[in-house]
Amino acid sequence: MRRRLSSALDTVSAAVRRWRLSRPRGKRVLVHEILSLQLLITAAIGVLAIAGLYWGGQWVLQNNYSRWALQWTDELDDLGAPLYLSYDDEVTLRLERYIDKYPEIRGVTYFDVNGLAVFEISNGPQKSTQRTRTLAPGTLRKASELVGAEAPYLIKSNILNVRTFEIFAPIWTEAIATDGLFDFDPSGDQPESSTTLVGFVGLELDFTGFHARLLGNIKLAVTLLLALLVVSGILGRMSLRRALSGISDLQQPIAELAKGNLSVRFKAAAHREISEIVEALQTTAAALGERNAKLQKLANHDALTGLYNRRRLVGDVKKEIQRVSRNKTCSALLFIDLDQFKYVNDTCGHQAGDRMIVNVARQIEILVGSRGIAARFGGDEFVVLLKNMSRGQVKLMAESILEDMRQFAHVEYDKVFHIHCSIGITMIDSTKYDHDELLAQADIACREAKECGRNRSSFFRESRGGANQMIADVGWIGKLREAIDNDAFALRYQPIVCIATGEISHHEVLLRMIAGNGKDVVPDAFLPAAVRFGLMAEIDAWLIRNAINVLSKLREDHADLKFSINLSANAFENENLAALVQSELSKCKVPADCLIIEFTESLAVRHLDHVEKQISALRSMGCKLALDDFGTGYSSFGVLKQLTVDFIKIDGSFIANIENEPVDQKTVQLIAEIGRAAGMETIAEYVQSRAALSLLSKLGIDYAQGNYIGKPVSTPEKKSMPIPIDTQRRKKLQNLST
Amino acid sequence: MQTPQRFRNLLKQSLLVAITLSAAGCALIDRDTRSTPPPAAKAPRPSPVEPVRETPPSLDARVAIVVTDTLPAYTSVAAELARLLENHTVYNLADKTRAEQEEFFRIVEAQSDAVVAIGLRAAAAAKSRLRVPVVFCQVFNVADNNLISNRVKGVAALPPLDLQVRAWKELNPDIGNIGAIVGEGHDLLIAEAAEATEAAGIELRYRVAKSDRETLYIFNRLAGDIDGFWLFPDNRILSPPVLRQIFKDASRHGVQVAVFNNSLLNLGAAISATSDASDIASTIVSVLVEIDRGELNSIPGMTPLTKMDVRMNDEVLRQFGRRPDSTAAKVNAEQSF
Repeated sequence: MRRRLSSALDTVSAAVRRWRLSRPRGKRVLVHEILSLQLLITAAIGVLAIAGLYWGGQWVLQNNYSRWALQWTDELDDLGAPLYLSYDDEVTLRLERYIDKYPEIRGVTYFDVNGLAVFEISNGPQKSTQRTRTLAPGTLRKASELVGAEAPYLIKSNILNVRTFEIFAPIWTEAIATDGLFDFDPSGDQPESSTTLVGFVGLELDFTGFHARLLGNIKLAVTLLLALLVVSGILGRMSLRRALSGISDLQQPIAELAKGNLSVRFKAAAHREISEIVEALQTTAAALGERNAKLQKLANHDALTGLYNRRRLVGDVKKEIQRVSRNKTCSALLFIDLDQFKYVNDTCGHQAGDRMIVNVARQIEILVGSRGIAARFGGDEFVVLLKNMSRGQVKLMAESILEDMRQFAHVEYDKVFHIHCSIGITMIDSTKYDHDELLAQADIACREAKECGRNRSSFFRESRGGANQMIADVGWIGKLREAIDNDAFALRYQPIVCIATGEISHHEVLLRMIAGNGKDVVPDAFLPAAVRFGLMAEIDAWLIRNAINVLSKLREDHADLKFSINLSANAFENENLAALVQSELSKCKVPADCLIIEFTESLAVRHLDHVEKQISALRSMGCKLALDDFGTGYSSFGVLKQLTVDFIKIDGSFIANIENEPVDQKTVQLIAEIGRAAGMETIAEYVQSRAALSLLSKLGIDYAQGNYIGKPVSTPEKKSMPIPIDTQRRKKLQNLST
Repeated sequence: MQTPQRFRNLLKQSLLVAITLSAAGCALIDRDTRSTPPPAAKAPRPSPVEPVRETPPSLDARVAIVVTDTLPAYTSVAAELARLLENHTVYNLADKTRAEQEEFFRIVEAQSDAVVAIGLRAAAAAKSRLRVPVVFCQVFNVADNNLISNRVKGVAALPPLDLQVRAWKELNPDIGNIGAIVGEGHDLLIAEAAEATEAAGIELRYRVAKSDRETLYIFNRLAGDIDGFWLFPDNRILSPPVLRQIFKDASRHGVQVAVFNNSLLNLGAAISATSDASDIASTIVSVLVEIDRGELNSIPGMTPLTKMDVRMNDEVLRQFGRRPDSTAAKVNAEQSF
């Protein structure tokens, strides 16, 4: 028995362990909790009901036993009265008849005042006997004391068996003390009475059989109650499950939704509350779907032309390589570069250039149609992926594009621009080259077409030069990826000083790549490849993260240290730029006004709306903004009216030979005046000599940067520059006048 | 003899008062007034069975009235006696300021010619403590206490039994069997009862009981065979619980109960017959006059009464088609023959 019990316990504990292991970790499940609660409540009700029934039944029974016993004693007391007084022949018969009705009365004994049995009767075959018992002295004494008492009964029970007991009652007579009773009033004060003890009656009672029968009934009732509870528990559980099914049904679709499956279908709920939740979830899913589609479009399409962007193109090329290899077919990659785009940009401005790009894109898209996909790769560069085409078909398609471009005329301000293009072609027929290499091949072929006189197409040939170029391009890609992954970039810091005080205002953070020989590689060497192969976003993020981190560390010793960083156009295309900067500043506990973000004038001009939003967000955080390479573009001064920046960095081409170029001097002076009028400070780049610094001071420039001021160094320096003499004189004059 | 002359005058006055009261229609049954028509709301009067008592002569003797208790049944008799007797002194044994012995010492000192003892205690004490003639009343268990002697005489505690039976028969003409339970020593009472019932054509089944339990037991044995139960005021075989139980059982068996006390009508008794204090008093005076005449030996041990007061239970009256007295809206209306 013990072994079986132990085995059952082991099984249960194993099941509990399995259940614990199998259940998902983490938060509690509401439905399970409610169902468990229901189970618990049902069990509690069951236990309470059974306990109540059992104990209540016991109590009622015990109470009834006593009550019945007392009633029987009373009645037998009356019935046995003649035994003590005038003996009645029928008394025996009456007593026998009486106890016959109650099998629980085992026997009745009448005693005289001395405790000697006068008459005995038992509920067995031998009914009545005479004088065999005597009352124990203690019982006799106690029972005698009960004469006239309110409850004149003495119950003697066995603690081990409360259902078998004896009850003794004194039998006495009573007489009214007053003679005559002429004024006896039953409703008034009771007259004095005298009592006389005449004997005792004793009952032996045994409720065991009766109790067993009743207990059997109680057990039956308990079983029925349990069955009812189980049934009601099951029904309740089913009802609860049904009621909660709405919530349960939500679990799987919500999990799907959490995984990103926005097309998930929600079951219609029967309950209003859940129905509202379902509706809200469906609305959310739909909104997320729309947002996702929008983001997908933003992520995969060029904002200006609506063509696929580089990212999407790269993905498609990767897939096409695999498909071609699998199907043994042939596809081609066409690199299209517009020949006259810079001319349009320079003569009519960037906006005109953009309009032309849009028109060209539309033209290319129409030409390609369903035969492939067209993507904008860079400023005036497009890439077309033609699928399932032979070399001849590709050639024909390229010619068709060239011819179409020749026929294409773009009208801008009454001027008609004829756009020609050069096309570099490479075939995709195996997995021998990856997407980077294929793009590099098409690019190289395009350059070859340009070198051969433009307005033509050229297939990539695996000549030594082409191969070397491709290796160089692809090599940069590898190096850049490695540098990003392994933090192989380095930061250099070039000081920018305040010309008036000679104090360093801040440092421009310059990006360098560490070459294999340990030397610095300047950005001009790797940034074009990074731009072409879409790595600028990652490089910008690396720059932001590391510059702020270094600034945080250095500010522990130099609290007034400030950095300016250059971000590419890609950084500003990222909607999360401000959030990224804010996050890094917060993480490193660097005040936002210690960071100056530089962006080029050309970027501002071409994506004015977008840049304006980003600038606004960055300024609201507290960052300062600097417009870099100012003066090189077509609409430089117009930009100043639309963008609010803190610094204007004058392009180095105006500073390099300023001592000898009166035009540059005038231009710089003009920029300084306009900057002051607009509340912006000016920074002159590329300051190479003391004379240039002195001249810039005269021209009203606020800050200077260049090798004369300080070369880029690996650790920011904190030294002052000598103030130009003219500046000193001007200051002395100002002091004298005050 | 100045005292007997005064006693006679007093008796004359008492008789005059009694006649005046009877003429005014008081609720008394008097064997002498058979011709008086009953009031409209009262039961018809049965015909008299006893001879007319002579008017008590006047009494000049000094009489000591000893009262057992302050119960109305005693004090009312004492009051009537005081009214009838010119030369009397009342002694109350209920007066806790004096011991019983002291009271009787005073009686002896007062040199009373006779003593009237009202109630058992007074009667027993007077018999044992005094040497003058004693007339007792309002004592039921006479034989049990061995009160009657040459010097001690009694007046009946109950109104005439024949009057009671006739009144009951009047109320319930169908009554055929009457049961009665008394304690030991009431042979005369039983004989009188048997005579009265026999005269009325009713069978009397009586039993002698030794205790209240036995009374109840006997009653329950009898209850199935009788129409009515005559309850006598034998305190030895009655207790309040048994009394209540008897009425319960009687009601259960449909047995009418005749009682000796109006209060018991509340428990469900059908008819109540009680003695009249003035009747008791005048009877006592008559006995005292006989004593005064020196005819003590010729006086019977117990002198019967002549009148009774009958009251009936309204419910019972309704059962027998009688209208309860309109003057009594209570449960028990007074009915006089």
